[in-house]
Amino acid sequence: MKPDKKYLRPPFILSKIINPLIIQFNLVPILTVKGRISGNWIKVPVTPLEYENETYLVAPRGETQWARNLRKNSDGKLTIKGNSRNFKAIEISDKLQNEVVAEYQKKVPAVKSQFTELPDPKDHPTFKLQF
Amino acid sequence: MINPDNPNFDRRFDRAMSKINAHDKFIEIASNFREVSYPPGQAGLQLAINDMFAQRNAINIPAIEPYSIYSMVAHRDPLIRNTSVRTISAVSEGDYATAFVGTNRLHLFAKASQKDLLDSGEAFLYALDAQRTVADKTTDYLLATQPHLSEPLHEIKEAITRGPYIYNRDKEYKILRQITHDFAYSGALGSDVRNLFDPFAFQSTQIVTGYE
Repeated sequence: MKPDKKYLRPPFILSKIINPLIIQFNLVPILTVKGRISGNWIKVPVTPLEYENETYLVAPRGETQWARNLRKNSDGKLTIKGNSRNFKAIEISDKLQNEVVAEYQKKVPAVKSQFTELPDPKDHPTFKLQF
Repeated sequence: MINPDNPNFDRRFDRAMSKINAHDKFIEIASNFREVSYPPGQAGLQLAINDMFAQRNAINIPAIEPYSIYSMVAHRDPLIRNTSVRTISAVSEGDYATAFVGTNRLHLFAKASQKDLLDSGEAFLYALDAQRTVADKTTDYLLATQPHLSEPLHEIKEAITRGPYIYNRDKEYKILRQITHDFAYSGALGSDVRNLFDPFAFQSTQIVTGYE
């Protein structure tokens, strides 16, 4: 039996229509990760957070596919306005995770509804990026 | 072998992945639309292409003979301008189904106009004009009805109105058509409009089929 992962699945229009459009137009930062099952490289729009001179990725929808992929293979690529940088992701927890998640909620108010549904910071996988 | 440390990684990566992703995306689009599963590999891809060609033909009813299209474009038939005016008027009144019938019809004239410059591109400009309004109004409609998607939709609206494509009319037209047909395919504009979606308005499908 699969473990009970807390994950807010994005609606069809967001995952299949809007996200591919904003990736195509390079409108937002894009994370590229290797699929843990397919092995294919997968692109997904993200909102990286700069906090105390480090770059973090927070999964506002919980145990998202990209977070699970990064756990399996920590190598990825972050593309911002056409400039790409390779990184190694390190998952963080405890006090630092709480601080980063709190800062993320402050700086990205658009994710308010996801944090209303999943209020515990532990439910939001958080990664420090080492470039 | 793609090496991430190679300075040309991005270019090689995108080239290698675009074809794989385009095949997968095309099969996924056809599968979602038809609500059927396709067998893996080339056989499934071919079945998906056949089904999507059937959809492309279905939205062109009543069919207009290619010769008539060229003749109407060359003679600057007032029907082309009227179709553009009616399409803009329909979408402004929230009648998305009529607007999509209009843009699909105008697309036939636009291709003839662009390809052979029979009318100095006049029909293409009528199609572009209608397509701009339809893209703008459909995005506004989604902004009003899907408030939880307002942030990415605002990004798309910004790209439509001030994007890097606005100085290249051909590219702008393709992008606008892709956006509106993506929205139609999602079902967010209603099932009537979904049935009018053109699978070949998606850019990645052109990589698979070479169509358009």
